[in-house]
Amino acid sequence: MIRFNHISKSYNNNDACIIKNVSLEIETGETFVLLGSSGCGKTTLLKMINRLVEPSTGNIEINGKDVRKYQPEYLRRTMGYVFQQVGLFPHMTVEQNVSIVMQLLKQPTKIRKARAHALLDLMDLDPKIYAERFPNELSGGQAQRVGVARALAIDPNILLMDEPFGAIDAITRNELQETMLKIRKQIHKTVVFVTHDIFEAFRISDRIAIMHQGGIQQIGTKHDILNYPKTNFVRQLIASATLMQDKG
Amino acid sequence: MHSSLFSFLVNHVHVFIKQLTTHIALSFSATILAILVGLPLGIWAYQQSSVRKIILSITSVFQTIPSLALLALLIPILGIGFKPTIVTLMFYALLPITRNTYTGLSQLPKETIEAAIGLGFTRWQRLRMVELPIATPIIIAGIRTATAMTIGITTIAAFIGAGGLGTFITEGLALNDSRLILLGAIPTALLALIVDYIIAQLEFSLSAQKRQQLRLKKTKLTTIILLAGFFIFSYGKYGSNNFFSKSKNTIVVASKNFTESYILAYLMSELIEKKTKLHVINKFNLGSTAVIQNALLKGAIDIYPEYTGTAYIAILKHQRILSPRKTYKIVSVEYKKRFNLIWLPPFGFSNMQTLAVTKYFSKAHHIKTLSDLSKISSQLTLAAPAAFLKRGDAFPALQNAYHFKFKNIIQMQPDLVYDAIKNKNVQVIEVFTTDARIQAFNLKPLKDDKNIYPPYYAAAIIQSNILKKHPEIRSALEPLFGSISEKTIRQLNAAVTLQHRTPKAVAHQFLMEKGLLS
Repeated sequence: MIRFNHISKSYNNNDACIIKNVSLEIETGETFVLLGSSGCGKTTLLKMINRLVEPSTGNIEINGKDVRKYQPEYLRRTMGYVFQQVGLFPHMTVEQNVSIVMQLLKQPTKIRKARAHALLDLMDLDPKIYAERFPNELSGGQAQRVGVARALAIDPNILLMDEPFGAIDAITRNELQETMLKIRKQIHKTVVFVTHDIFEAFRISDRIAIMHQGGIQQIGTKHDILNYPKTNFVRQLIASATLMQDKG
Repeated sequence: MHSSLFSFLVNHVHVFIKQLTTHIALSFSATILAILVGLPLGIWAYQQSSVRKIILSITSVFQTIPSLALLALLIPILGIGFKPTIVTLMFYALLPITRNTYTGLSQLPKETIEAAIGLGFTRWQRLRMVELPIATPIIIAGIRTATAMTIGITTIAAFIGAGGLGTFITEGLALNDSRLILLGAIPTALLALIVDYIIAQLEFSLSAQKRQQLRLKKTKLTTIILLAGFFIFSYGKYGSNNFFSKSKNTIVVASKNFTESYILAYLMSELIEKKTKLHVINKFNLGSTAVIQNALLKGAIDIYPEYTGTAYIAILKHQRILSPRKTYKIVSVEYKKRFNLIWLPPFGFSNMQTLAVTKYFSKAHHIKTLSDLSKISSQLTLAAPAAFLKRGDAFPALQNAYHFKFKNIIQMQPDLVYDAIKNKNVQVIEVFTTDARIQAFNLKPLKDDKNIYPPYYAAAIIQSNILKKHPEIRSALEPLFGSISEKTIRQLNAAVTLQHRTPKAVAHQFLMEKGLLS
């Protein structure tokens, strides 16, 4: 369980407060989506979990232990992290990219290779074709599949996904979401997923936190949010989404 | 006695290989040192924004200091030869390596760095596994620039007796032999090109076609082995030939970088070699008075021929001009007292610096003395070496007395001034009265009618403790004292500068003819 206790974040002066007193709990094994428009603080919140960003006030606990008690590097290695910009290492093959964290943890080469190939399989990439390729030989969707495989390499309990499919075209995004749903059934992980796409949120989430201007508007399942919107902002969001869907 | 080009090359093949390997050893050691220093500096500049500006500006400043000046500044600290050369070269190679390392690292894609941090790389792991590998092509490009540059600049090593291909260039200049200059210049350029090509291949195989891992590894390996082999070979060669650790019974004879100094040094070196049991090492062609004086004080050399006037004014900083005899007396006493150096008795001739014009010009304008010259100096151009133009005792002293108003004054290498007047680029040059080219080039040395300039005696300076330990050196050199007249030295000079014989051969023949070797 990941627990945010009264988290606020401001840079230098208090005027520009980007997170305002956020408290929430993410249950072990659930896929929890942070949904909001850009600049609402959702990525900042995500980055606090593995200490890429430190809160100004408040604290975060994982299974009851304050994250500040961990070495940042150690903490990050125990979690998977998928980036919007993918960030594959251009000088390494797909296989090397997937096994890099295992290498940091000094796991034997044989195990690394087997695991990398299994993960590529899981992400619907044939290792025979892709293992030896370099990132610049992959399409955007393929690259992000490798990105997810890399995040899963050390079999983390927590997977952090920062708008992972945000920069990918709609069709490929759809395929990736399907793969996500598929692997969710196979691996049991706590996933924290940041997106600004309400359909993506509805599709893959167990629960959603809707954020606006650094604060939480509502936390709930897709069902809760659609049927019992708590604030005006949530109502507007649903309305505009419905409108878009009708048009589409 | 003009030897054909072929026999010239055959004669020089041995010494060429030696100087080539020395050159490679020097430039590679310096480049490797520069990598060892520059890479961490570049990384430091990248990681610590607070030191970035300082590091990058300091390395830039080093490159703006003229190499010869840097070399001269290091001599009092590091002596002459291998060490100051490597350090000087290292400073030059530093900028491209440091700058490219910093540039390569600072241009890494932001998302790659973010990914590395987010995946839990430590700073060191990030540097080693991600940042440096991606920046490698740019870093290699910096090393490539540094190497090519260093190979070129290594020619300055010759000025302080470290050897290398530059030796041929400075010797060629000193001995008026353009074949020697080419023997130094062309291989230097070729070496730079070849090494540049090898590193370019390495750079290419690192940047492109990464997917062909196998091929990459092969090329990389071959290149590295090739480079390493090259380096080790040169180093070994250099080590066995040139890394002299002075043993007890070794005496280092030195000379300055002009013909007469060479000849005198060879005369001494051969006599000491033949007449004593000492092992003689020659360190010829040292840059200037300051360089050779420092080398002597540091004990890097033991004995060399000098002129009393130079010592009197350039080293002891005296102003008042005295008779040759008195000058010799003063320099002997003061050198003993201040430096613990001994002036051996003069060789016999005295050598004077003065200005000269062509005989034709002298006749046409009725110029015989410096006073005559002064009257028309506003229409004339003077060419002279820096030492003459800048040293208080030399040109400034003449200027004070004769009030020259030259239209233009050109600073030149000592040996190039003769070409300048021959080609009518200038009308007046500085000459030594013993220089053979005065006759050969039809020059008229002008009389110093106000007696501003003292005649210089030539004599050897030796370390006092060496002379005490090996008094046989003095006895070996005894036959030279007072036995070389102005006419003789001019002939010996002529044999080298005009007939293109080696100073060594000329010195040897003189000793043979005088029966000094029996």
